[in-house]
Amino acid sequence: MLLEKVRIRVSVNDRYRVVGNLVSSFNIATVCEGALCPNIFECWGSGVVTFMIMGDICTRGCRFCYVRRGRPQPLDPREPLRVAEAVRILGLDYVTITSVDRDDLPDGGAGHYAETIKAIKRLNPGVIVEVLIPDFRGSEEALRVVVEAGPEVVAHNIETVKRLTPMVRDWRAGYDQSLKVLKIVKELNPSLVTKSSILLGFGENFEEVVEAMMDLRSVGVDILVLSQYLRPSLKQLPVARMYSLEEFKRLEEIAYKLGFSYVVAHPLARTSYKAREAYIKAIKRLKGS
Amino acid sequence: MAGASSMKSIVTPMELWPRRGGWKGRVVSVLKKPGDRVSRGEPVVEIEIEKAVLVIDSPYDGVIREVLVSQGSIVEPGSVLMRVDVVGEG
Repeated sequence: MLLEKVRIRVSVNDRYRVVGNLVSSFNIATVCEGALCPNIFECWGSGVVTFMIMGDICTRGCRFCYVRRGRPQPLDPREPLRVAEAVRILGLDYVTITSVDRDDLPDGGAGHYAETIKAIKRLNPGVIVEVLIPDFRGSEEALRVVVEAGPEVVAHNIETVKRLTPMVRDWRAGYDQSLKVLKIVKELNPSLVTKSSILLGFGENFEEVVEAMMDLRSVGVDILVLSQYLRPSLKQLPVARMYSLEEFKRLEEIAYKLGFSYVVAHPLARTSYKAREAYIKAIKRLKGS
Repeated sequence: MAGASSMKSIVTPMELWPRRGGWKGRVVSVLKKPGDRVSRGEPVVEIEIEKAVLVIDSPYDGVIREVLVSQGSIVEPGSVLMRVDVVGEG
């Protein structure tokens, strides 16, 4: 089956170069590069970047992801400060942070997350911080450390429907475990905004997607991101199906009916894509309700 | 000097994903031929990678003098795609 690929207009402007030079000279990894994200031109070109902390080598091997897998580098205790400084230089008022999985660390890297969030807030008063976290193997203790550092938004992705989770994600990840993570986060701080993403195109059916959305709502998730899976290289899973814009629209409408405060549904949407806008709109709706 | 011309290369940008430079792509369409005028920002080549089709723009105004790739060519960051006689620079 031939699949029509998304066309990306490559444009490298001055802001793009500023971001690229800064993250490179500060030795901070970005998921924009790590995942070969097609939105990099739009995001970096407007001065937006998603930092990837704790190195660029992941302990897990999810079969959709382009981030390198292997034995990670030792944690760099100076990284939180470098990230905070980069945020200041770029003048960001909304920061998105993600990381590789660190199953090699006793706390899964929760402490490092907390240090990073605190350093960013210390150096950049008023900044809003969104973190896209690993599952920390469902550890409430680790999640508490992250939540208590005070991020405004905590995202954790279920990535796919329940049936396909063992095929798509690393064996240490789990659909129910990810739902549990989102539930714990919300319980630890109900005023925090939670968020999760589903990638479409692994071979799931419509009912399964709706079921996954219902499961996310049942644990209080506020923001839903629906996007098209795009194969980064031949090493990852093939795309089973490309969704049409109409299908995205239909799923978006269902998601709103299920009660999500904000839904980002677009083939090229990614968890951190237009995150600031999603947060502001979600908050408005949460406060209004 | 106003009106001077010089030859420049249009390359697959090295800066696309700066620290993941190991990717390769396949040229799926060449949109200019030798002798064609080109403007800065105008698409010249489309390259297919696994995740998407990248549309590469000309960074210069000028006239295409040489096209170094054709449909099916495998390219990587830094590959020279075309040579342009750049007008009005320098």
